[in-house]
Amino acid sequence: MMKTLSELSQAGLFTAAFALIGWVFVYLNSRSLARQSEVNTITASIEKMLQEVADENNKFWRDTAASAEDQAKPRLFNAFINFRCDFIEEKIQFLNKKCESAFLDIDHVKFEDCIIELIAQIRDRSTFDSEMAQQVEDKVARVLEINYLSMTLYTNIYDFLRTRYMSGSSFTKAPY
Amino acid sequence: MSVPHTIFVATEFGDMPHGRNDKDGKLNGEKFRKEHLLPALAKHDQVLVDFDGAKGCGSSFADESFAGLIDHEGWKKDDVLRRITYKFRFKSVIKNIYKYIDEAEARRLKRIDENTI
Repeated sequence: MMKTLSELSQAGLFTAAFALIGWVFVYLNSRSLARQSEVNTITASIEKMLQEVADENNKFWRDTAASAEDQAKPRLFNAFINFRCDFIEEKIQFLNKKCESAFLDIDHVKFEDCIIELIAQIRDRSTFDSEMAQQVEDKVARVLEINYLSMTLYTNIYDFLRTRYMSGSSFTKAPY
Repeated sequence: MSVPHTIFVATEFGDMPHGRNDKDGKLNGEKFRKEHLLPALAKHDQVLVDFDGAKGCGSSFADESFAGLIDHEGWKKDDVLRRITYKFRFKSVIKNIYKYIDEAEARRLKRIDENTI
């Protein structure tokens, strides 16, 4: 046995095997880092869109408080908000899929349900009765609600990613 | 269970459903409810409303079309839930439809309470 090991060692096979293992490790690690960077980019774009949803809400409800009836305006507003909400919903599905891992026990269904619930609320509070905005009583409350929902949505995504890419030194209970 | 009759909103009604009534535009919820949904429900027990291909489904349109059955046509929530199903790629839109139906049912029950007092 010792003789065989000695011969293998002299032949340089162990060195080659260690080099291969090292290469595989570096390869997998770099892939993981690349994926994490991709995920961060997606999150940044979602954040930007949420900001736009909140900004446009603010603009719309502020302007309609003192403007005349106009069919095009609420339709344009609906199109603007729904387009972004559709986009966010699609991106969340991609993000969720991309974050799947065989080594981590993360509840992806719970995460998606939670996010879809928040997007539904954003759609509703943004566009419901926007056709008769004059009759909506507290327009400022709408703006504040959307701001709050947007913030909550972003926090949920952030918590999910923090759980997914948690470092060993900061191990905490996973929210998902 | 029978195969539901499908209303393809985008092709049979319009690909940009929006608003509550004629004041808000041509493809409004009241028109959809009266001219497409109610006739289909009169003929078929199960109706599937398919929004695929539609460029969105406005929240006021959804409220007026489906919750409107409870608010204006005397339907009950259980019947609406049992007889109508929805198909759309965005789950959050469907979630809101169910929310509006719940809210309409709450309004209906409140009206009943007020009338009995």
